[in-house]
Amino acid sequence: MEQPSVLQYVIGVFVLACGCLAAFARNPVVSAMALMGTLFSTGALYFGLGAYFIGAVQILIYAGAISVLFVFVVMLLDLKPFPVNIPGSSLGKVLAVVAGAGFLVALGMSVLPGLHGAANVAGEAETAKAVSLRFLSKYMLPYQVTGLMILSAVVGVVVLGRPRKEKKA
Amino acid sequence: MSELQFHLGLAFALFSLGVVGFLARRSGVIALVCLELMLNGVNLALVTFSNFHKNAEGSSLFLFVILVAAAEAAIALSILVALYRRTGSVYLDDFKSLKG
Repeated sequence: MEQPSVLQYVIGVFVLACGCLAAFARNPVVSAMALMGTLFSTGALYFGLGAYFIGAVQILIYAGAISVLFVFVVMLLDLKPFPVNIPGSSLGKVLAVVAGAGFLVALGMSVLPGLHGAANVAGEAETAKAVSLRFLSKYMLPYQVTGLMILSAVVGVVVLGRPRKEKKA
Repeated sequence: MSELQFHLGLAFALFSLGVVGFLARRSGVIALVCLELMLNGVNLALVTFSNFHKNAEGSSLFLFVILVAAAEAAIALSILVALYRRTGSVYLDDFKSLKG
């Protein structure tokens, strides 16, 4: 199938809408929930590509765990909606929009024209097997190092989250 | 528009949205949300290329990116919570003491 299906267009519009909401919502709670929607619908895109294992991982870990962490922290902090008008920040905003649009145009112009292809649904049925074979052979060392990194992240979070001891006066 | 162009365009759009939001917003939490948007755009490009070349290298990298993103989100959010507990604010403009 060379053309994206109608369902893929609908999911794509949903991804972009949720992304805009996540980046530009005033209320952090809305932003975190929109992030969850973006991650979830990106998982749906992976299913559309035939990468079922990747889609499942995306929904379980990204939409399930990481975005729940965001929602949890935002609710915990009880943040006020951020005020729109900050003195002296308009130049920064213009520069940010210029940088983002420049990125989009540069990436799109350099890569998109001349690329044509349809999804390889049949070839991706073996994704889980191929990925796990790589993890157990070629990427063994990075895999172990990642485990070490996760461990140090856990220790770091525990240390950061510990209440500070009051100094004795 | 082919399916490849469609998915790559979405990936670029997600990354650019993340860049704009990260640079324009001054709230720590929303900056982190935009960071996740950028990572998500990169992931989409990785999986798309992996799918179209019938090569699982991109999918393997996707898993590494997810693991690093999880560790990064946990650390960064706990730093934000510690900052909030100490100063009562998560707005990045309030933390300029390292600027000198």
